[in-house]
Amino acid sequence: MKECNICHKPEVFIIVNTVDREGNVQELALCKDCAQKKGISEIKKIKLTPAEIIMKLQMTSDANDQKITCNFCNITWANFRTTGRLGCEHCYESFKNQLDSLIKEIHGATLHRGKTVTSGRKTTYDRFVIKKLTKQMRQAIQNEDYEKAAVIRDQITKIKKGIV
Amino acid sequence: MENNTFTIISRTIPYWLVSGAPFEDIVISSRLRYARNIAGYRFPNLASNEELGEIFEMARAALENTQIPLETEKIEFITVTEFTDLQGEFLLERHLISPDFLKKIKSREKDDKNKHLSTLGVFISNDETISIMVNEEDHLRFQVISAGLEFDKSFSKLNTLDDIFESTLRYAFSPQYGYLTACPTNVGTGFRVSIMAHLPGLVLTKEINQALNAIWQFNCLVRGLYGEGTETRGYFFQISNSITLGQTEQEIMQGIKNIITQLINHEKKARDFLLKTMKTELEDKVYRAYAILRSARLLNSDEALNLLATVRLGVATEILNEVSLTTLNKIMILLKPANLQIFYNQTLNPYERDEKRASLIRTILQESQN
Repeated sequence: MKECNICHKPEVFIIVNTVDREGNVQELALCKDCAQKKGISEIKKIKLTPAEIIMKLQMTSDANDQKITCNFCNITWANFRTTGRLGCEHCYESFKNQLDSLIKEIHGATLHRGKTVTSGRKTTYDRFVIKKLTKQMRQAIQNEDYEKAAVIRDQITKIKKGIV
Repeated sequence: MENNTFTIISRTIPYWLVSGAPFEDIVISSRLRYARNIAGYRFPNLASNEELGEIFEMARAALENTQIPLETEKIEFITVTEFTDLQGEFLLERHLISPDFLKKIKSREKDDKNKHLSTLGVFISNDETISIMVNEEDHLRFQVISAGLEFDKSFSKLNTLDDIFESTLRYAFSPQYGYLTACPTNVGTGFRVSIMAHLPGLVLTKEINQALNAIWQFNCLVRGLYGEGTETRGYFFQISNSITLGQTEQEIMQGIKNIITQLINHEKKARDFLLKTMKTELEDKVYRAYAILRSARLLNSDEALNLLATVRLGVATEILNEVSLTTLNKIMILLKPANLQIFYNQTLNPYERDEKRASLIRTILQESQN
């Protein structure tokens, strides 16, 4: 049970965010009486929403982190800070250090529990990926990049045989 | 198909709004959703039009290639890829797409150079209980909606649907973070439970802030009628889980169920209190609202929704017995600007809408009395 930060009564009526002169945000839990004394009569917002947590963390993000880039989709941590959206699944690996604390702040956990994917042949997916790779292979051949074309051809064979 | 489908849908009441649902006097609807992405493709905000087109075709193939029944009665899916702004708004008003998706529809029409390519679309079951948005914030957003406080049947439907897609597609998944999503607020289960509750008792007794305070304490979010960034109107509140990682889907549902059950009890107590202490004032409020709805010649949608919300309280507290919750639910959908226009199958300016809205509400209430 939470208690009032001022009189320590085991009753919390409202939680407010206070900002000091340095700009540090602090959470303050108050009972009804102390809230009234502080002139807080109306509850506006008690807890940050996930979107607000992202914004808050984005503001306090380390400048050095900003240039970190995802190898797959090429977005930077700074890009993510602006949009609040990641570019692809690989971003979770590329920005792991930064994301771990953000995810912990939002969810209070960093480990998934719940439904998981099942393995097995993914027919529709394979069909589309083979089509995509075939197009890339043709492009490579056209560019006379036979090495790349061979790599793609091997990838296609693997998918067809169900190895991947 | 589009125009016909929209007309057909607009003349019916969504299946999930029919009466007899658990706690329907307080909980309008329960919505469950999964966010999923396909491995190897950039998330929609970054994907090229070509990639988005492939995702859409993949989703279509995944749905068409499967024979797994969703439930005993046959569900057919309507595929919508071509929308006018009005049709997009119509779908939003019926909770079949999200405000973000509508924004995408609107911006696409202005600068889409690849109109031949379907990059954006939604699959809707003919009873409107299921919708699958393709290329919203995530590649796939599955949604199952039901009337009242009901999770079990919807959850099983949602999982079947997810399994159908997963049997032929490869999802972006990490053993640590679970299902990977464009926004870290959805990662993990990608599971969101949203309850639309009608809480006039708590609003009128001014206890609402305290109740919402409690909700926030339990990792839940409160939003307006159409989700994030929308206002609460007509005493309607949308409550959903804020955590999607670290808890199982069952734990998330149980958490929401506990909170909502408490909220229902508080709302019931507040209604009882109002009936005991200010019955005449409450009756006056309800009958005035009902009288305006039955006789007004011009009604804008905000006013109509607020009046309807008051009448709903009257019906739920048995002050008013002349109209059913189902009828009120039907009006609640049809009074919205886009639904009204598609119902009448014509474009109407705001004045004409207010006139038609008042006339339609009068007719429906008249018919329901006969």
